[in-house]
Amino acid sequence: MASTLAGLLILAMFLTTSLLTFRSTLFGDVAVSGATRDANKVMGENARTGIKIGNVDQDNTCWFSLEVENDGSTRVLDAVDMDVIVQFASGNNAAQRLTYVPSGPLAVGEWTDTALTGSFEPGIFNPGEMLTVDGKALLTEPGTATVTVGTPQGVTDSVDLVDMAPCV
Amino acid sequence: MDKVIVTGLLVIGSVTAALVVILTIGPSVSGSSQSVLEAQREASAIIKTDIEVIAVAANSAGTLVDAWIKNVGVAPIFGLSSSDVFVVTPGTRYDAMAYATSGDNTWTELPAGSSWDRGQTLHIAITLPSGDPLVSGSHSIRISTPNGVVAERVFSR
Repeated sequence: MASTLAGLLILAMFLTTSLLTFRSTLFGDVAVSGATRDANKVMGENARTGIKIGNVDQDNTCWFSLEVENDGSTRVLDAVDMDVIVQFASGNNAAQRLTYVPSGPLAVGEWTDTALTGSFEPGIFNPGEMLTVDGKALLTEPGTATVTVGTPQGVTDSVDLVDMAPCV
Repeated sequence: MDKVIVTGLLVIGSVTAALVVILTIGPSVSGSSQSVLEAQREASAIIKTDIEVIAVAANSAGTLVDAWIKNVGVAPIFGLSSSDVFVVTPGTRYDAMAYATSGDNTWTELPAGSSWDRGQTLHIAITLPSGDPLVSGSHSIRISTPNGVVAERVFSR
């Protein structure tokens, strides 16, 4: 009787311990595997994303226009999440991130996407398509700017623009 | 009668012994399983966090560094002020910046109070002492999120 009862209690303790350990391991594994799956998905998107700045147009003011090619193998969904950053190697002009506006006319410190080649999925920057980015940087003096364009995945390409000058 | 008493005593002794074992081991098992769960939750948060330094630029005096860092992970990043920012010049400088809106060797986010959700680009401004600015050459900026995810980028002045 005594040994049976003690045995039952020990068994109950063993089961409780196993349950607690299993529960924590299971919940933890679910959290980690979910996070790993999400992170791998994002990492895959990042690895498949690529952009390349092609033709550059400028008129020796603060205005510039860049043709950005999607040379990756995945699409870029939201232009609003893209980055256009202008920095200067010398002089007193301050580095700046231009603000996205859906359409022009542009004010100084803004950028917009004016054209997108390709008729497949209008408004989505698909692989092989070209996106035209127009911007106006804030300059206090003439200088050479480096414009960096970044996708929402953080993939970037840069180009130097010489002879930029303040917009009057 | 003797047998009943002995059996009774044995029952009481066995139950007491079992209860003692349960009461001593139970909480530690529960505590350790909770710790495992918390550690795995923290690990999953770290896996979900990722940042990328998009651009870094120093002013002509070498006293102000602007950096744009994008949250390219899956989760929003909270507790921005607990992030760590280092400015490194190989061989000569390895300075940790303090989180403050002004002062030497400090950094702050612009605009103040910015959030750092998934896909957002955070602008930080680093102020260096005018007596110890960045010299011409290559430098790097090293940024760590509050949960220890690090991004680094080399830039030149």
